Amino acid sequence: MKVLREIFVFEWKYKLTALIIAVTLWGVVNLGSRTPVEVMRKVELRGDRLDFIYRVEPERVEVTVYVVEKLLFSDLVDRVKVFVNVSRINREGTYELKVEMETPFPVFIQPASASPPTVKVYVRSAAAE
Amino acid sequence: MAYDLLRELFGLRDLVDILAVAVLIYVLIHFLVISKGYKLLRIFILVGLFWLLAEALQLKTLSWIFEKVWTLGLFAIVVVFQPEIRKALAKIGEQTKVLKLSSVEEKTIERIVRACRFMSDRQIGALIVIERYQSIDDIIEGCVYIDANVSVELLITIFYPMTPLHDGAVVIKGERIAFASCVLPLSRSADLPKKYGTRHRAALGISEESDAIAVVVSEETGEISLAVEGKLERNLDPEILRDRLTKLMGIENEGS
Repeated sequence: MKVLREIFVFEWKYKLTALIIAVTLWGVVNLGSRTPVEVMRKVELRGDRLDFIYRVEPERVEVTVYVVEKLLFSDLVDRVKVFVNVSRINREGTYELKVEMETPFPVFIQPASASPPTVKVYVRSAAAE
Repeated sequence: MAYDLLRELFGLRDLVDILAVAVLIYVLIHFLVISKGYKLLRIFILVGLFWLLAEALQLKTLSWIFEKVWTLGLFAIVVVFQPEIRKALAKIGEQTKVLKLSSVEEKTIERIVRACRFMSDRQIGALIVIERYQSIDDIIEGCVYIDANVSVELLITIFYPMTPLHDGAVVIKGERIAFASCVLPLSRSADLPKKYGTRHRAALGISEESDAIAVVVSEETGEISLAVEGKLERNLDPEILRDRLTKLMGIENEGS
């Protein structure tokens, strides 16, 4: 009891201050800088309709993701998704759409750019097939 | 998903890392508080804040200067605040009790007390510094090397008026009178009443600069005072002086 009191109660203000500074420093050192990583991702379709058949070209794009150092080799980087929004397409044809990116952890894993930034989407009617 | 992230970001190693840094910072804060180095802490915080501001505003030249100043500043701080650092280290050494404070024995204290009683009765001014854990060699100046056993007669003889060594402090190290006629740093404390002269101010000064204790016998009143850790205990009678010295030298239990 005396030891616990010595550890937690004695000069608790200094100890709390030291802990807050230590956590802040840890945050700055471990989470303060982000490293760019290139990953290949398959382009998904969002807002697609059943009566159309879509073909995306290229199917995969290279995405630059800024990751905190601690997550550089983590599987969490794989959760970054790349997609094109085809919800506004209502006719057959060829479209050039902007590649969009999505991450579940925007603070720690930030997708920055895709290469190429746009993809071609070929849309055909499913009835024609 | 959040759990996965937390597991990846924060492990046992990070907890140990944070705790170790926290302990280090706590020791630093404790050190600054012990040494009363608040001004040092203020400078640290001020420089840190300006640096952060410069970084945030992307003032590259200013950031560069702070980066250089920080490295040089650490060395400068050690030099400028040497007395505070020395005092704090001495205090930490005292608190950890790894080393014995001093090798002063009870018989030495008895001799000092008897000499002080004699000089007090006859209003012979005296200033006796007893070194403890911390060496005071780099604080005292102009000493005459003595290296003799502590004896009542010798102490009285040294302080006897008109003799060559009477003006200045005697330094006792262990069982020996190491030096006489030493010049000590004077305290700048404003708390000391004007009736006390240079001798008392010197006694306070050495007790502020080191962990040494100083016994003063007033030439004007014969009053015995004791300076410990920058504080002056006034008007002590010889019995109280004996008790205080015994306690301060850490030999209280051995004697009883």
